[in-house]
Amino acid sequence: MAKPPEFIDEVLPAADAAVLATVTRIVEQSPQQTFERSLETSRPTTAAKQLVELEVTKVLFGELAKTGAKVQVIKPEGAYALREGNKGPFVLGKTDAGVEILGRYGPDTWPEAAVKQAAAALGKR
Amino acid sequence: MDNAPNPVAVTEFIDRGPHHALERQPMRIADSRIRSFVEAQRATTAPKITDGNVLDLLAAVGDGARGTAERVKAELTKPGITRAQQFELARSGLTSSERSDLGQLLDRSGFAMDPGAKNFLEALVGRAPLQETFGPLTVTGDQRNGIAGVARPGETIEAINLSTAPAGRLHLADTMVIGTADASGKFLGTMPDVKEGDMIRLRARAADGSTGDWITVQAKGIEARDTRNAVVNLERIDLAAGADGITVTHNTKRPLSEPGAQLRFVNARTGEKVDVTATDVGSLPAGLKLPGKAGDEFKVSVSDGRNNVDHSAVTGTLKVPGGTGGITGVDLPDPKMHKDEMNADGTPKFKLERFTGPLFLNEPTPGDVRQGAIGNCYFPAALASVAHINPQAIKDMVKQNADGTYTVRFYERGNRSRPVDIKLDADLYVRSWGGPIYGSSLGGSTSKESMELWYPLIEKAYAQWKGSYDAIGNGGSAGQVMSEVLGRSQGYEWVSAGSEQRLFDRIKTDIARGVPLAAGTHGSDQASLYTNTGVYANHAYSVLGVEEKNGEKFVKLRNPWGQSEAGNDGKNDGFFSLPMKDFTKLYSSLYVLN
Repeated sequence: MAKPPEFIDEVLPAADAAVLATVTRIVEQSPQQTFERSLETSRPTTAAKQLVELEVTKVLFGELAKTGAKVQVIKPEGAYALREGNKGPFVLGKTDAGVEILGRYGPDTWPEAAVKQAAAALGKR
Repeated sequence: MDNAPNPVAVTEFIDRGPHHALERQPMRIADSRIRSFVEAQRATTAPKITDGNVLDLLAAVGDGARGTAERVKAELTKPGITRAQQFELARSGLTSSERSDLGQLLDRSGFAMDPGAKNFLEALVGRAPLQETFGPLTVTGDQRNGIAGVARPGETIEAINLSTAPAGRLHLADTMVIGTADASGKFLGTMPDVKEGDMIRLRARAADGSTGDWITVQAKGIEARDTRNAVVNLERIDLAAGADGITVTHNTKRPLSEPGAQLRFVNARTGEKVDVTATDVGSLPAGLKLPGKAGDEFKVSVSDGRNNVDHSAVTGTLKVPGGTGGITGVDLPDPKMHKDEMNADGTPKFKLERFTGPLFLNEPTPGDVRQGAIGNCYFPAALASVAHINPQAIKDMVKQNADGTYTVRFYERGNRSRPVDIKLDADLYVRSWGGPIYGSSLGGSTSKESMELWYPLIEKAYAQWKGSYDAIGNGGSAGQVMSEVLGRSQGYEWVSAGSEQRLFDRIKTDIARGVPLAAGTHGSDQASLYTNTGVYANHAYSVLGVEEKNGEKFVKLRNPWGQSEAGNDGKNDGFFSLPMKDFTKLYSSLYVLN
């Protein structure tokens, strides 16, 4: 579903951390359903869940990971998928299943500056 | 002290080690309050003496000369009391019988115990000195120089100002770290913008991430008097008319006022008043009802008990949906929201507001169009393409009527002999802060008084024609929409690698001929192609033309979100140029009109 990214101030309050990171490994890839080629866009289809390893290059706020650390996080089923080498700001939240990437498009959801600005406004550090 | 004359056996299991079965060993508890405590714990699945419930035991042994156990408990929990003072209260009323009871609790109950609670009991029976720096989190003194207190050494202290949070976008757990308890358990933290009388909610977080119970303190010692009244966020209150009055619900997990605030609802039609007290999480009492009917308006005021106690200052007005009052002009039926925005009972989660801005601020352009929170990218992409090629067609398709309503014309199956006129009003579903939740206009305000209306009204008319926002919000074809807007038949071309030159020529020719174009990307199963490219899967884009730079061919595109684009031109307005080789890789289809 090609909806626009969520408003960051509606997501960030629930976040436990935000980091700049690079995807170093796809640890687990759930089965991906394939769809017939279609002239329609914004169809209610999704990219499968993944478990990925991130190498943190900078911590924007939170204590889920330190700079230089490698952490495994869940890319939930949704509108995007990750591959090795993808990078950018990852906003993270703790769930019962583990640490999950927040934001409808993962590292392409919000620019780093927007994450930092919203975090500062919320007093997150 | 207790009047129960005879100890009563309370049988417990005790663990004698790995080679012994659990055995029942009697405890002979003399004090009836301690016995009640033990029995209550045994009734739970995981009996535990915690830093919280140990105060019941301290109250049980501290009663006597200082009054009843209830009175002692009130003293034990008064703000600012130290752990040593709590211990002294308990010790001063302790009898030898009660000391024996506590000893049995320690030795035979088998109950789990928080370290601080255990130390209290051990200190009372003389087995250990009192350690003054155990938790739970306690705030001491006033807040003149910050928020001070004690917690377990190393714990971080998180806090949120519940008096200011309702005016912002904070949830109850959106705390800030104000300090860390030192080796002796003491901490001192500061928060910005804390004023006298503010309600501060705090909790301690251990190194393993676990958190303790919330406590709430009212800031004191900062100013001579409390001058900041409580606030109430009316956007977080929904009213719904029913057979037994008006149901009042808190529509978000964010607090709507501070704990203990007095809210007054006055029915503007009948003058009836209802006063309620905000709960300890800044919400409304469950099951709150107001006397009234659909269309009534309620004036809402709030007091913290010190300011605005006469409720003369009104925060604002809430209107009960339905009825005939409130909306000026003709009120036409509105398309239902997308199912994602509907409650289980079929009512919408968002309210409608009448927009009164201009239909056109100036000539329609692609940059006017902004997709809302709905899966209909094909629709704004198509409308932006038409606005790019033929802005007059946009001006011709939507007209304002003499009665203040609007009429939007589509063509069924792209056939100009089959026009479909949709009459609608300018009521749009809005977010809590007022902006439209679905399509809106860029380039100006999104306020209901001044937002340019042509795009959101055409989108609403399309939803009305097709049945609802749900009917148009689960995918579709940009080609079909361009056909239905202009009354021309549609065509398409699958995009494939190696077709760069042919596609470049086709786009150049069609744009020059006044043919609107759009393009779609591959589906979600190929989503990994897209991350970090600035282009998104399962998405439609307006195709605005082609260009050549330094011998390289580009296609000019626009993301209907009005943001998020390939490359970095410093604008992030959705407009971007993409090399043709990337276009043929990332895009699946090109929509054209014949």
